[in-house]
Amino acid sequence: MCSPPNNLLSKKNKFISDTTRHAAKARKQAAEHVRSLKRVHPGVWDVSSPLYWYISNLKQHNSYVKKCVIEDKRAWVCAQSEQIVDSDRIHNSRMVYKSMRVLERKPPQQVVCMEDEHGTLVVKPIQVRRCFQVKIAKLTNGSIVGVAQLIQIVTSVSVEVTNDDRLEVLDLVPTEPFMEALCASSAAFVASGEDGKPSELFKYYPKQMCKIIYPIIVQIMTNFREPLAWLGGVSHELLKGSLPS
Amino acid sequence: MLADVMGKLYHKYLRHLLTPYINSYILSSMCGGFEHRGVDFASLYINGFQDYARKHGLSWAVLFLDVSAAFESLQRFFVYGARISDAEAVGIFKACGMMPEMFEEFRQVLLDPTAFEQAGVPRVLQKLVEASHLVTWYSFSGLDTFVATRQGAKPGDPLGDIIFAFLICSILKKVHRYMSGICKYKCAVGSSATVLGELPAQEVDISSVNYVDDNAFLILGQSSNEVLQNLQCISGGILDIFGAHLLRCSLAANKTAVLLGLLGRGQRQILGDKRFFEEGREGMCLKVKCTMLGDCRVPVVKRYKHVGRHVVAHCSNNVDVQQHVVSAHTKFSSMAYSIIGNRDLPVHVRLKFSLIPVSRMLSCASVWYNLSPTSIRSLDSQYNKIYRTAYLGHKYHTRTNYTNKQFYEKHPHRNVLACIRGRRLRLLSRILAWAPEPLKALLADSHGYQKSFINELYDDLGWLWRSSSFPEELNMPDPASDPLAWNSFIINYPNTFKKRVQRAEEIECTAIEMPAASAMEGIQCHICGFFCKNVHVYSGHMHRAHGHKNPLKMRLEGSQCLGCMKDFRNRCRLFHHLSCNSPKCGQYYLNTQPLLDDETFKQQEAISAKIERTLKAQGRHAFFAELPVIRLVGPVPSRL
Repeated sequence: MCSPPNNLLSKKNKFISDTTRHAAKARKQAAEHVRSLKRVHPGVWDVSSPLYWYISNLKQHNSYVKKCVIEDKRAWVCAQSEQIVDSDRIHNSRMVYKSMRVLERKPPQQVVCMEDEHGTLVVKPIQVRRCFQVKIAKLTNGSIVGVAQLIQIVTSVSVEVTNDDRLEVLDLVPTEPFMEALCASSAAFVASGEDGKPSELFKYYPKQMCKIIYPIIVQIMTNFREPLAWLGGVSHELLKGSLPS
Repeated sequence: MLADVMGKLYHKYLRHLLTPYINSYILSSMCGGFEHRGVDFASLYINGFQDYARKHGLSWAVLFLDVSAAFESLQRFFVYGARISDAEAVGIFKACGMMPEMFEEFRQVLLDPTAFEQAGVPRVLQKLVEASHLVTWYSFSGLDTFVATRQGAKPGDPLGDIIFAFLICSILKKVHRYMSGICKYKCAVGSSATVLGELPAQEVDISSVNYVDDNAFLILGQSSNEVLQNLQCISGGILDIFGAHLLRCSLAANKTAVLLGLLGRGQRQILGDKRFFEEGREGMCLKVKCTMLGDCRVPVVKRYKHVGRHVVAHCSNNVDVQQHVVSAHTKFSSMAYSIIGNRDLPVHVRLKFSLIPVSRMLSCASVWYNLSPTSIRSLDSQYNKIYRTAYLGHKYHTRTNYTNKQFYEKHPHRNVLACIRGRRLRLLSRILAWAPEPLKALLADSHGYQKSFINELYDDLGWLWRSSSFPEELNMPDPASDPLAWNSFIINYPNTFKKRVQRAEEIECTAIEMPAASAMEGIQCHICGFFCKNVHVYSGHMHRAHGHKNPLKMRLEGSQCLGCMKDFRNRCRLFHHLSCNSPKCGQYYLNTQPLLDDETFKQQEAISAKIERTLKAQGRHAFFAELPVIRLVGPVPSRL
């Protein structure tokens, strides 16, 4: 249902402009050239050496790339500061924190769009956060199992339910408007799960998403059993992405 | 951990159904985000408790308890679900590695009603929650295997913390029952009319303060002996109650600890009492006897970091203030070059980003009170440094000849005291709106006592009244004469109050007039008579003018402390350990280690200087090390 447009995933670092990227590429080529020449002509290179020109060229490349990166960073900071708040709300530090977090951690983002079965867009494409980095994984008590075994374990256990329970649970089933409000209260820019449905879709299009989720929730509550995917999660370290243009 | 958003939404709905039951079930001293109670209230409970003890001349002790891997060790059958079979109970008990002596207590807990039953959660809702936790699993990307578990709260799930809160509440209720049988003394506070409104006269049971998995148990007594006896007895009992719920408590340093505020005898005399204390690896420890761990020892500390704040035995926030200044400085230095002090960026951008270290520094400011001149001076200098950098650039902020007063005239901005007052007043509005009655009664009880928090709050209210145009606009009386009118105003018009506070803060755009350092506080050089205002200036003078070197530095080689047999990873960190953290190890070096020869000393100093430079460039302290301290193999030498 959700697919990232491929052309948006090519850039690795959103701070770097195209000019800098090209300059870095040229610098890399120059460095490789110097390296290969060094392999052929080992020894000390002085001013009189015919290869001196290549080294000075590489130095120029280095300083140019450095300058470009600083300029890019400056431009990015200015752009970010514009998004924060007006000067009358300067003391709202939470917004600054949010912006700073963007600046520090470089969260990769992408655009997702919802299509129906004929391939037409159902909702407008929206910007979502794509991933985060997992640094620490903590093992707890439990048994390590394969997929088949996990399915077997989950299907073998169930909650004992009486007919009274099945009747009483109908009082607890949420109404559709309530579920819509719940969907709308989802957080934006958080990583999605294995199903790939980003929470931004639920936040910005609660009505459409409620139509999908509501029957499932009613079925789960009346059967007293949840899907296997909802009972757990996967720790990820995903690739970095870039801002959409 | 990534879980499906749809599943999370469903669990969020279940949480919504459970919330009314947890709100009615939790204790008034539980501050885990329910009923608008946050870390500030947890901190206020301990502040109020300390104030109460001081006002009434009582001895007190606080036991801080840390449960190791609390969320992962939670046993779900204590919270909901049907009774487990005998075979299952024995299997789980063995798997948890508890002592066999604990089984009887574990069996008793199994016979008790579950936390959901105690809270009155309907049977159907219990079954729905049970269905969400039948078998939980997690995996790592790239693996084709899974870990299936039947214990623990689900991390990253909306139900995770609420399930844990149910369990911890049932445990704390048992602890309270147990403590009430031993501790005879309780806070008796409240009267018909207090500064915080009408509160019923009551005996406040604040035996514990909890924030999710951080617990503090509070003990009061009329004599130090009574407190210590109760503490010793209660500590063992509490460990056993947690153990009976299959939760292990970590007794390592900085995890579980005891903080003492005893009257009557000196600290050294008290800690020398062999009935209660003995010397351990981490310093003085309290002897505790419990079924779960047998004879064990709980470290006695002078300060403890609880819910993000350093709690100390005496009435002072200096330690906490200094810690926040240091952490703000670390953040500030790394940002000064690239953003805050970068003159290529416009000033308004730099000012916005300067709020990050400022709010980091003032994060706990709302509970700071009774600030000493040293703390205010330190806060003010750091605060001004950040603003100077933002206005003038990182290269120029120290080169200008502006005094603080001139700087404020040229670039008006709020001063640090106004910031702190504003934060405290916002906290007052939170207290009036959301604080539970026992906390209000505890705070109101210390009104009139010279060093209490509530006095500070109403002083701030007086500052607001004087600095704003309240009398003309709203016809409000002086808060000192009629605090109740103010209380009702704050409760009825919270947004107007917040706007007034903000306006009052913005008016205060003048430099703080700091008291001049007294000449009596300084140190005079015994060789040349040069007057130094503090010990740091004195040591610098002795080094520059008279070539004196630090006697400890002249004995240090490598990164390993021979006093406690630990590797500190670099020499700077070892020096910090010897000079600041462990006076015993420092003394051991001075007594036993020979002086290094000149060449080795120079080499070692060069290594240290290189490390310091690298760390400074990264915006770190000189004693920072990426790797943790490790224990070396070998016996610890006797230091006595």
